[in-house]
Amino acid sequence: MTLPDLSALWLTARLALVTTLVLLIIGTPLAWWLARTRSRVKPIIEAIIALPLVLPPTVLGFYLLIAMSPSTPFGGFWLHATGDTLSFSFTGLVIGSVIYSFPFMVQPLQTAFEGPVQSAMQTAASLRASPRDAFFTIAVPMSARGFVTAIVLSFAHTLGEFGVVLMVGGNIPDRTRVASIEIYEHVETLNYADAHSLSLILLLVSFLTLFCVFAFNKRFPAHVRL
Amino acid sequence: MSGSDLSLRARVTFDSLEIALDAQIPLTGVTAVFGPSGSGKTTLINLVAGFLRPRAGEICFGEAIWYRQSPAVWVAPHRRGVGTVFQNTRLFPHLSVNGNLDYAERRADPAALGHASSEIKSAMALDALLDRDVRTLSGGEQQRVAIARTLLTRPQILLLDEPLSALDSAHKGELLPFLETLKTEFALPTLYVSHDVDEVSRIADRVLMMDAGRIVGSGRTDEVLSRFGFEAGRNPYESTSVVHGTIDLLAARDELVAVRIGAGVVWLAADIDIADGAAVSLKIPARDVSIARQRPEGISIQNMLEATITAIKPTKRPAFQTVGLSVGEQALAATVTRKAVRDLNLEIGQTVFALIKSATFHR
Repeated sequence: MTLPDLSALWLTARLALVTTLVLLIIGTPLAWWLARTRSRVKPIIEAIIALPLVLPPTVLGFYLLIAMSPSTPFGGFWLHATGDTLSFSFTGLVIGSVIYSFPFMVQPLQTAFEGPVQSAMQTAASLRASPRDAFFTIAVPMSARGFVTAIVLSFAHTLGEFGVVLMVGGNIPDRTRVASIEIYEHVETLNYADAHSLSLILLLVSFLTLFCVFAFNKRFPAHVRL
Repeated sequence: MSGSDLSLRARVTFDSLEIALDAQIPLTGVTAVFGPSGSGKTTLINLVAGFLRPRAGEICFGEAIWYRQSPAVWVAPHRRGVGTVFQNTRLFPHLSVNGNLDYAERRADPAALGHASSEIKSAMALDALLDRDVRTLSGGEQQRVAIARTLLTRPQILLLDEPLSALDSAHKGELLPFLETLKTEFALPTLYVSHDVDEVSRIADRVLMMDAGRIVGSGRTDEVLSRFGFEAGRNPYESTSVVHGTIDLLAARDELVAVRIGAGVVWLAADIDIADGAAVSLKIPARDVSIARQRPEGISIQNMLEATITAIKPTKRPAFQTVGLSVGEQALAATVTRKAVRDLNLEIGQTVFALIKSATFHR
């Protein structure tokens, strides 16, 4: 395996990790809110979150590219604040990936938080647990399966991303050239040997992560016993 | 307002039922909240526990204000010191029996007085169950764990929301003595939600009678129950009779199954495979039983049983009465209008025909 391939794999792993972490931090409260709210705007929010599931990645990437351009207020602010453009940067990739993988984090968590977890929160309150206490001691362990599913799906989905990354990040070696783009690059240059090895790595990693989820879910039918 | 009452004045809309409650509940002994399903009993419990926020009114526990419309006061459920035991136990599935109990004890108010945890556990006979997975416990055992868990938070008041209703009658009988222990040994002010006359008359000191979102009566248990025409041994809200019979395949015809009940036959359209002579039970809703003085002719109802009237009793709805019938040795209830009872001159001891509009196999 060549050096650029290793660099692309490392970039991909970093992107998937950072994206999953960011998604966990913003997706958890949002999924919690969605599981509890009776607000009329809930279906609108749910539809927006689900959009990346059906939208061509290029459409999403195109709008993100426009939004990140220094001529827009957001892109301009970023350039002014950090001295760097968002598009064609790692941060830009993370923003794109977070939006693209949003449903994979929020939907399993929302499902896990509904029903039994909500009545367990009430039960915990009757045992003098504050809402914050009950969230961490009851809701999180009872939703362990949902968390594992959400984290692994978000991670695996980010690994496999192509369109959004290409639109937002371009194809800059070491900076925005992730594994999936590197494979495309190899094929374009008729370097099938490297395309093969890199593809096989992605295939195996994706299979193993998904296998872990299903093995975990089989072992813990509903929740983890502490 | 007295300093030792739970005073409740609240308006709330729940499941499209408009609920307006006004009650002063003494903070001693057991007060039953009694009434039919959907009368607002659980809503009352949820208002006291703080799971439901009223639209208007005031809820005070002794001197402490838990809710007031204006100036606005709201005390969150976990700060009220209310211990709730739920209908379906709601043990935490990810914790063991001991884990569930510890969860409560660690969060108890350290300043609150109460029994030692060992006393609570042995009063609920939990010593042998502590290491068990809660999902492997029987219904009655789960409910004992739930009660102990609630006691361990050292609550100021106990709310029991139909704690026996999820149990079959054998397990009910097993748990009732524990509820009596709860009353005599722990002596916490208790609100006990139930729609079972026997439970209420056995456990409660006083009764709040509820109907359609209102408190329609309150006072000493025996006094309130007899004022509203309830008596132990009969549950007015379970107006379905179960009668026993045998399958008669020889009489079966036209895709109907024949069930012999005493000297009569009841026909059922049922797609089941049962041997001739098999013993079966039928569930017959009282509202689907009509009464005729003579054997009617030219009527589409085919199922009629000769019966003797054993009782005529009021129901919760003033326009209706329940007529108790005996078919051979078996009891059958019919709900008919008070007008019908008068027009037909129905009396105890009369021989009549019970017309059965529907029946289903029971288990």
